[in-house]
Amino acid sequence: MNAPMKSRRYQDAESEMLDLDALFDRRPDEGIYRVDRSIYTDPAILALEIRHIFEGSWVFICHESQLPNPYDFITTSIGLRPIFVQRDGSGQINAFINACTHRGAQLCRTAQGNRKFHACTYHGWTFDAAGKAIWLQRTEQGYSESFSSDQVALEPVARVENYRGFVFGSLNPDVPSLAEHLGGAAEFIDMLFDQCPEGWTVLPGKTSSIYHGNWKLMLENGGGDGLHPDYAHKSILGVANRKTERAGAIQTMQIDKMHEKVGRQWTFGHGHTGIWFNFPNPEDRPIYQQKERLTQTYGETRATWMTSIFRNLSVYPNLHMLDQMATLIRTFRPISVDKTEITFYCLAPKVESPAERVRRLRQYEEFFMGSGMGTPDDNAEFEYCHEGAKGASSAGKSFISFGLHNRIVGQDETAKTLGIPLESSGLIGYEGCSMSQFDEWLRLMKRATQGATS
Amino acid sequence: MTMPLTFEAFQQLTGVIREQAIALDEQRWDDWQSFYTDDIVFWLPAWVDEHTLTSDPFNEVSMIYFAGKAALSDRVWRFISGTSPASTPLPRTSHLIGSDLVESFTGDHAVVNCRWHTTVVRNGRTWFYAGSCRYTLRLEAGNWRIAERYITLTNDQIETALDIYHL
Repeated sequence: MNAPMKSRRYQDAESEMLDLDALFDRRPDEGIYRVDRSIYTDPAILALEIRHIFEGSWVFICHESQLPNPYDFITTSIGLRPIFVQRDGSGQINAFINACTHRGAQLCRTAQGNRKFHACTYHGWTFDAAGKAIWLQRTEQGYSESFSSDQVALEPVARVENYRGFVFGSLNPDVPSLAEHLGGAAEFIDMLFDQCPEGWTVLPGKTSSIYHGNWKLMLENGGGDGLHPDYAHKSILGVANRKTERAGAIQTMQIDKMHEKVGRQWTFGHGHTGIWFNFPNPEDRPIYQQKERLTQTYGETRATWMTSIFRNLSVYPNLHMLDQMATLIRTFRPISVDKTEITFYCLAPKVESPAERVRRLRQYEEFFMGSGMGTPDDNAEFEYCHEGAKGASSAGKSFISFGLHNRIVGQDETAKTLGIPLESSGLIGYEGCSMSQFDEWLRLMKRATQGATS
Repeated sequence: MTMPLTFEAFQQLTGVIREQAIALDEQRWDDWQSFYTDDIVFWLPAWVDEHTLTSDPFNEVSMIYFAGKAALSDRVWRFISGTSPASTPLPRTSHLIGSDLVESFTGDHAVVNCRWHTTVVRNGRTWFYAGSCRYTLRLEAGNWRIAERYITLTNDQIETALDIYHL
């Protein structure tokens, strides 16, 4: 006799076999934190992450400036699920699974566009910008009297919220408000948003890069790896030095020896993390030209934070909002357990002088994107990490312990002064940022395996 | 003013383009730089959508944009320094140049359009980059030199890294 069919999806069966806690050796008070590297290479873990992290919580989906006009849409994805994001006639931003409810064909097939109606070219089913099915083929002949087109409305992304231009979505309706989810991390977004009264825009020209490694390697790197720049980015630090003597050159923002500057690494809770330190050459940033205006509006301290301090924000699980060597959005998603797509958007004030704009572009292009002189070196290290993590025995554990024994739980003095709630903080290099990300990882993954819903 | 193009001039112009590509494959970096003028403008725009490239490097994103040989030398200095993990080891590359068309020729100035395809082999992986390139060449002390390179990349996504040795 055949075994009874399993009533639960295979991921749940997998997760019951995986002892997630056993992947971590967590002794922060002793200054020890190790992570089993199968977390980067095991396809069963990725299947769980897709379902319970990317499809189970808030993820960043786009910047509102990508949809300037009513009925503009863009196509993107939440984890592996294709979505389109559209501004409706009233200006509200909605998102839907990008699949016709008839046979599942993708409805929007271009990167961006503008249209009021989405007609599927396979069988003609047509939907409006609110996801309502407004035309189906031969309904009178094909479907019973009890059929209503409401039954075949597009599947909406359950929650879509916009925090100061940054649009997030959740396929799981049972998540806290975005503001609650972001917590203190929102303060870093505020410090960006408040810089320009006319608002921010992503500049034309988005680029994507692939690296052959697990998605969490990017997350951890941009989430506050303050230990890698002097090594992985040594070559562009050298370029920066070469340029200092060159008259007229747009200078590179200096990030060498960041641990010798005034700075800290912060964790905000929910896996959100940040790193900041005083730039030695803030006058080389385009926004520095606005410092006087910002001081008048926001006071000296906040204006300094906006214009002169390197700020790296990582919003779990897929957004890096960087306002540092350049100002940009870096978002990323797993393609498979060993392949990750990173997409880069250069952020700019809608109104700025030509000189500021050019400086902004050249600083962005110099370091970031797969064609820059910084990103490729990160990508290469992620690939070398992924190679180093391969194999079936669990002997390989990453030692992610820097700054744990002398971390501060809760706010440090700077955060108290600024009124920013923190989960913890540490010195530059503090690997509690990774630990905090894995805390959120465990919370989401265990919530799933234990059957809880929130 | 456009002049009739002699076979000899055609050979010289396309020869420079081919020689600089071979110099990249053979990792002769000084030779490669010698094919460029001091005021070289090197521009690789980004894609806006499926078929639109950015067109204003001063307001829109380019994948690479720089002017002047010092910036060209910075790039070379970085990737041969041994301190760039993405370029250590360097990939093996094989550049193929084709479909050359001389668009204009005035005796000391010429514009040549071509297609390029680079096969890249690195750390067990093989991939390619391809696109078009418009070269603006200038006669300097009897030698044709590249004053502008406008490159398009047909690929949507960059595999790990894209640097001038791939182009």
